[in-house]
Amino acid sequence: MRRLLLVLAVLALFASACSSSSDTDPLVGIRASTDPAVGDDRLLFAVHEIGGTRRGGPDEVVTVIASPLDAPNVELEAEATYVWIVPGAIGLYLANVPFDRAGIWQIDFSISTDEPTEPFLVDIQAEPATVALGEPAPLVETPTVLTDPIEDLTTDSEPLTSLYEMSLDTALTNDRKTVVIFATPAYCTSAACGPMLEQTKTMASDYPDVDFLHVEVYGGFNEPGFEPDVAHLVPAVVAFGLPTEPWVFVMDEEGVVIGRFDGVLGDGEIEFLLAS
Amino acid sequence: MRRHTIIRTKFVLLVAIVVAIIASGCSASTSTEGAVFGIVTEVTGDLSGVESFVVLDEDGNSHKFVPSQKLEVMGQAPTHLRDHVLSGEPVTVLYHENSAGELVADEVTGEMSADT
Repeated sequence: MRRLLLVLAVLALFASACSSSSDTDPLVGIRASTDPAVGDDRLLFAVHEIGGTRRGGPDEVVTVIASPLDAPNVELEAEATYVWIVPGAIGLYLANVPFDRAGIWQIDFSISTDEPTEPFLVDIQAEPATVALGEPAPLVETPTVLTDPIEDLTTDSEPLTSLYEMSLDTALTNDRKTVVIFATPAYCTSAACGPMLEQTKTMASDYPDVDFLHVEVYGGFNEPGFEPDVAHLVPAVVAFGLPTEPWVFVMDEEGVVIGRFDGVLGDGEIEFLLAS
Repeated sequence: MRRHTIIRTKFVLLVAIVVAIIASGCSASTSTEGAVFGIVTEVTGDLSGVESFVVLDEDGNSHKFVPSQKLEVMGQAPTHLRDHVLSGEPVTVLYHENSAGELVADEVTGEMSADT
């Protein structure tokens, strides 16, 4: 009997050694921002249990403290808000952290449930891959309904015609603010394109003094044998240097970039820029 | 006395075998192919393709993969991995290890593999 107990004890010991997860596993943060750079203050991230369960929601308040690895005494604190990508289904946390130096930053976060958390790292680039805040937007000609049927301009199943009536280069030089969204609802690599385009369409009717444009990421999508590959990227996507999609850029009356948003739009982010 | 010695020897052997079996079961696989189930935590690359991606498994271990030439992610281009960063939907990566020691992702599915 004692021997049997000994064997069982050995089994239990090894079983516990095999499993490293436990109830005390910390929550992990996952960076979702795709082109973070100096001058940005937008940090998108997800919160996960190590077992894979996505966490977070409007009721779980998250606060972040960001510190450069080479200057840990610098601490930037911000409360994150939960932003839905697909309302009620998929969302991310958005924190406004004024990253002011390039390099690796450590993001510590706490959650209102008081569960333990594990910091994550963000590599802040000196210059973004996309057009930076304060830079003039590239003057790129884009096709419009004046030259092409709308079916060839968008993969949106319910397009808003006004988003395709003006070329981007015209919009950027007409002394009006411009909002351009780069998204491809039919070929999007994420579920974010459709919702972001819908948000933009809704805003377009609220701001008649602003030019809203939608630019598809790929051209020739109605041609036989089309593949959403690099050979089909439209010139505007290349000129703006997009590493991912969807993206929204906001330009002032001079055509200078005053806002750049990847993946998801928080409440009031664009409205704030259009009101100022 | 001799009978006791034989029984003790058998018992020690039994414990050794049990320990060896369990140890082999929970140690990291040393084979050159395998499967990992977890969440995608990082994707490097751009719209033209994926250079590498990282999966965090259920034990909290991170695995970095490079895509194979013909990698499809649930029937889509590897750039679809970005969606899994946003959505948090877990993936299973079937991989092999190349001569450089890199884990090469051969297949990515949305289901938990029996191998994981």
